Amino acid sequence: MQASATLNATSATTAAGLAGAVTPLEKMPGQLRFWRGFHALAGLLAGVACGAVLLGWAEELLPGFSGYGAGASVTALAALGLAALGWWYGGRYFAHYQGSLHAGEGVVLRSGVWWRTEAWVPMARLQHLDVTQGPLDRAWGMATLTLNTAGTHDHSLRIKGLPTEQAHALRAALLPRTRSAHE
Amino acid sequence: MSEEAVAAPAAAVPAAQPVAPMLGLHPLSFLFVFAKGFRHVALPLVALVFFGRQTKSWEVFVIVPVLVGMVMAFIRARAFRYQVGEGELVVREGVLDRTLRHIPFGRIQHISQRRQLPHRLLGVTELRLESASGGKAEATMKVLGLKEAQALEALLHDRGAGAADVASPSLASGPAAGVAQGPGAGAAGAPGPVAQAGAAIPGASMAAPDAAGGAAAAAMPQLLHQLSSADLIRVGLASNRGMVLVGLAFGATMQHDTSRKLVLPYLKLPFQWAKSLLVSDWVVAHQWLGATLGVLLVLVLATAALRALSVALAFFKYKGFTLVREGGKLVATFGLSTHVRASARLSRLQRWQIDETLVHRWMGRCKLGVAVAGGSADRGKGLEPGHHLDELAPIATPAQAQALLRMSLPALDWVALQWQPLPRAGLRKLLGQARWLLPGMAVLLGVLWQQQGNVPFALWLALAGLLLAQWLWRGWAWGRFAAYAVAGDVLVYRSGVLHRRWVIVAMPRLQSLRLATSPLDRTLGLCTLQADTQGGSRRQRALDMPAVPLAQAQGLREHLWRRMV
Repeated sequence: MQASATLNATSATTAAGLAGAVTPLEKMPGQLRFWRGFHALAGLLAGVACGAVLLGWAEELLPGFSGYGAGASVTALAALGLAALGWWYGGRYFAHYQGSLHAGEGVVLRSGVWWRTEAWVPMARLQHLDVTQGPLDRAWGMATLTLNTAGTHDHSLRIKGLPTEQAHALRAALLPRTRSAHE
Repeated sequence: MSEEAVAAPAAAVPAAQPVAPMLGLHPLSFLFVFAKGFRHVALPLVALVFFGRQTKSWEVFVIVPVLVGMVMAFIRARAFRYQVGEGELVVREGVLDRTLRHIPFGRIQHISQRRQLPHRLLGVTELRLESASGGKAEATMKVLGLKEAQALEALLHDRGAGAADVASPSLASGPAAGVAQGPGAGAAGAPGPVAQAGAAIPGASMAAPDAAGGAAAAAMPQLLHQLSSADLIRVGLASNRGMVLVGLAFGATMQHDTSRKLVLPYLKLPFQWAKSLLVSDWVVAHQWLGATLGVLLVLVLATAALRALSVALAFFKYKGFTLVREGGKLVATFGLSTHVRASARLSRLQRWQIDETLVHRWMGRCKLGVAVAGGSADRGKGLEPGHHLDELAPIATPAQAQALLRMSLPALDWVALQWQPLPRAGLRKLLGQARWLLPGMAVLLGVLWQQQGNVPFALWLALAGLLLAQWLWRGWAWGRFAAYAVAGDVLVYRSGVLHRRWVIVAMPRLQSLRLATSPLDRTLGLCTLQADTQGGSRRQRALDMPAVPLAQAQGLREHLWRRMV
């Protein structure tokens, strides 16, 4: 246990230059578009579903209910309102999403609007790294980098919206070397 | 064609050594493989045999597919083959979907055997070969005869030992295996009732200092901890595993009509007795006093019955518990009918936890549990014990637990720990719970006020007041006790009110860190610090410290980070 600690303390420098230097990772605007669209769609569907359920209840509980036209327009308005809310939330989420590379040490990812988290993953604990691209990612030139450690609960960290070349360069820079400690 | 004919003799030249035979499983393997499926149809089969066509139970129709499954299991067990090759173990299994696996010896870190009562009666054993990363076992052989299992283990030892010299020495703390346990494994050649497990192959790295020292000291096991019968009773009293047994029995009987009809009348007896007690003349005559006493009596008796069950379970699981240190390895043996021998290298221990419930405090004892890297996949479920080391001491006096901790973490000096309290932790907990507790109680009281049943509203109000007072006290007490301490490379976090926990982690063994804040946290200037290690539980993080003041949390995070990178 002690031997591994001292060996890691004398770790080599990385491609980023001085050990300890913090460089923020880029976020592609395609990711902003994706999150905005995703949350807006979620809001829209939620609004429509809620409206449908409420209309169904109204029909059951109030005999002779005939306000379907009014009900439908209210539902549409609510759905649009929720979609706008989702659109705004996607923008806020993108603003708060920031990854950074600590040269020679590891990666930090800050995310979340109201429930904010900072995930710190050291280079010495990385087991393997994956770069994945969905169809939208390919169209907008971005990729997701997944960092896997040996932990059981938080064993993987996904960094989204990286430019494709930077994702590949990061993977090459962070590749676990034989000197890393696993105990 | 001619090129292939020329190439074939050239390729055949390297195979000069004698090729090891392809061996199969024990002839009775199929019994153990479909014993699982058999359990589900056992009762309907019995009903069919004894009651003939009178049972209209639908399970009768399930018998045919299950029988087909049994035949398939038989064929698969017959088709299993394994072979010890050059530096790897070759396993061939499957009938329709054939699989050929090559498992290098360096990957096999842990060989364990488990023998339950049927295994012991038939003289067979279940062998599992596991790798360093945990997860699914590399190869599971159900079942092998005792002699074949020992021969395979010895063979793997020899080949593994040979491979260790030429393998490239990775870091001292790389995913290396344990110490050679040749004398220990070979000596148990006689098929005694004691099962053996946990013989680790010396893997890729012999550079590990404890492996080198351990090889010399392997012949001298040092007894660390042992449980007497009185200790087993204490273990049972302090745990509520009796509920597990009740739950299992309930689940098992509820599955079939026949078992329901047979067992349910007996299960109903305690409830009927309790009901008759509560509506008896004495209780009615004494109104509230009688009712309260009646309920208390029922609760006390129920708790006593459950604890008696827990004591029985403790005997079943922990009989003969011995913790022994062999060089750099800890070996625990325990069990009544299923004898388990679980082992772990000292350097693979990731996280320790001392539990002290109210009953533990009354008895002056505590429990020391441990999480081992690579051990999460096979936790014991219900009554069945797992293959891995879970507890260094199911019960121990605080002094014994401290001694065990000192042995695994020499740098930790418990007495000299500087505990840093967490201000505002109690407040944070209370506010967090108040968000749903107070509205919920208000709604409930409103509903009861509306109902106006035969119970006066004042009584509900008094109960609600008691609940709130208890809730406030618990939050305040939690805030007072929660604290953390840093001693070099070790972080200790304590928390709890009635059930107290001390979580101990070694910083170089942490895998990742996390700082989380909720809106309430940010208002109070707090945050939650979390860390993860190998081998823990999937449902819970290794270290979870809520309500740490922000500045302290960032300082602590920096301290941990320096030791992790």
